Amino acid sequence: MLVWLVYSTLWVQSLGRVPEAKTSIWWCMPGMSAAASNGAQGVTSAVSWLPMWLLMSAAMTLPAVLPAAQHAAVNSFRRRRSSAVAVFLGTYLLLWLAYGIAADAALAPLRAAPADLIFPLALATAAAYELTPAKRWAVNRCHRTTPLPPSGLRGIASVGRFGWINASGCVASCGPAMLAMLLAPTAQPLAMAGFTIAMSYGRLTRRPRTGRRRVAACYAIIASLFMLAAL
Amino acid sequence: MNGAPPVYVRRDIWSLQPDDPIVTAYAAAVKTMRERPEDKPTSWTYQAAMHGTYEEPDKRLWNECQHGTWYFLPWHRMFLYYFERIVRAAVIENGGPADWALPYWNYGLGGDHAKLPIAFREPTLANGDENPLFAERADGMNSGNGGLPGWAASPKEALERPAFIGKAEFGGDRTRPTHHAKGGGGELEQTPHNVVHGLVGGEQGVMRDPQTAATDPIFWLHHSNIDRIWSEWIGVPGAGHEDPSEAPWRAHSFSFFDEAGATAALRCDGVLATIADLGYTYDTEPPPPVAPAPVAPSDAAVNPPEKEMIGATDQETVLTGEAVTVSVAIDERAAQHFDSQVHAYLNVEEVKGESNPGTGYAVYANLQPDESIDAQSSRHVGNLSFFGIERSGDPAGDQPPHALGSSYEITAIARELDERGEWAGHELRVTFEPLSLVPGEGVAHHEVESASHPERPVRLGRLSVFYDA
Repeated sequence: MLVWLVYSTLWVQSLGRVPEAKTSIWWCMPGMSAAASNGAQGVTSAVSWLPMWLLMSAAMTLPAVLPAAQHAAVNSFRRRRSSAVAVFLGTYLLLWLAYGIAADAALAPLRAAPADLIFPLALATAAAYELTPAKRWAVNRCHRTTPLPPSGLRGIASVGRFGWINASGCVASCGPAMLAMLLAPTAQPLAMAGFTIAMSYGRLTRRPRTGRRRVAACYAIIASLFMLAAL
Repeated sequence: MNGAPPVYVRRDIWSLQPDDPIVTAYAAAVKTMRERPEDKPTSWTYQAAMHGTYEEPDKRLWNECQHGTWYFLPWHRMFLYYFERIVRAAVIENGGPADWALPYWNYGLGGDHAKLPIAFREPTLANGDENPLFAERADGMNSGNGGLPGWAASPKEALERPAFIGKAEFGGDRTRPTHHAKGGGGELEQTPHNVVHGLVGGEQGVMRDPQTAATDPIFWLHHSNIDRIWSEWIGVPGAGHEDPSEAPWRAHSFSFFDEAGATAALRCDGVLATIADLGYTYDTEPPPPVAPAPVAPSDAAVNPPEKEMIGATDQETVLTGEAVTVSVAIDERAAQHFDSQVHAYLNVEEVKGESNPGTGYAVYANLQPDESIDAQSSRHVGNLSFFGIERSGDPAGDQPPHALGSSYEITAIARELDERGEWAGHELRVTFEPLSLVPGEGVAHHEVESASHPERPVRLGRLSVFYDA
């Protein structure tokens, strides 16, 4: 909740200073400097963007990963629970950070594209991905646990490996949806909240196949609505 | 004639002769169901696939079996209930007894009862026709040369569990949406259910794998016995055993097909009184208890005990059919506060393997090298087997994956060690002793399935010891 509060506050503050550039997708990323939204690159944009990206990743993915973090904690000695959780979450968020850097590079060529067309296309792609074997593999990986030695370097390494497995499953599972979310042309906190609900539902439902189909249907419907509005 | 619905009586298969109308009607009904189109819900293939199948894409309600969850018992009760109705309709269609009920296999009685019932053994009938009740099983099963060992077949330890819900309790632990170290099968699911599946199936029989088990006609008698043991547990005099009162368990429903092929759903709390709710009983069932008044959730349900790990291994253990002893280091600081309300549990976690080797293991805690292996020993804490190992990480159907493991209560052993000053800061010896079929009198060991499985190793990722308080 705290992460959501901080993020929403920063987004509201950014509304006054981001230029209204409907042809640019980057105005939808609060925390991006004006230079970046006009296509400029530089250290300044990375420094301002990455912390905000980490905050956004934490806000969106932590609700679904908390059971795994709890698993890491419960399976450690009490005196080591905090460090186990820190190693797990640190590894987890590190991979999402790497994803963010890769997404930033991948979406750069689309800076001049009209957001109201790119977004529904990306969302339709995310909908189709929900129904693939790759998505199923990724969700299984999210649920996977590994033996956790109780102490020492082996213990730390194993918790880190657990975080890596979880994060790689999560990125593979939710990456396409996150890309679509990055391209949302309006109401970003609402888009974030919607994607968070969809991704958490997909992770936590007792009926994963039914869950993937429902999420795919939701994405497809929203993509269709945006496409109709754009045409 | 009072028009009351009939109460069907499920009988012990060993109390029936192989040519008893109940047995021959079952065989004829199995044949009839096998001849039905596979996409018909009342066909043998479809019913078996509802438990599990490798066939893809799966059809409606396929791969629905509940294992390693607290729904194990109610789901299988419902599954058997509708299967029995479908079989009974086929029995009547074939001119058999209208009061046909599914028999049960009470292997826990030992002796001949621990052997495969005679009607299931031969591949052909006396008239030369194929025997519908025959299936590939472990060496020694179909020949009648081997029987299930008492350790595997006895429900004694399950019947002694005081609660339904909980780690190492009768019916299984709470099953939450994500399976990270939560949920898990109960004592009855492990022994005798899982162990019997493995030992009857052996290396290549269909009973060893949940994706194929229900294609074996003995599967249904095995589960009829498991269901009967549930009723027996509830009826243990003076024990106060109760079915769960928690809403997430009681309100959960599952869907099946009835004898007309129509979809039907039942809630877990709608199958607790077998006579009143489902119209069947067992020939050994005690008088039904008075229906209990609704109870508020127990304190344990509202406030689940706090868990704390006090020891674990840092290497995996590999089982290949030989006895193995592992030492679990009990952390001195973590294990200090062993108060009177604390319970201690041994967990076997992250069990992985390519397939079920068909062998189970008796698990002992604190068994010393000079002590003999004895299932009656207080050192015997339970059994370990590997039913479901093939697909636990990638289940078919619409279920989330879960790690395979087992839990055993070791409070009494831990207290004994604590009193001797051999607990905190010491090592707990855990011994895995392979189980195999018991050769009958005059039968050589090589005539029954061996416990050895070096080509199908099973890896135990971690052994841990926890306090629950």
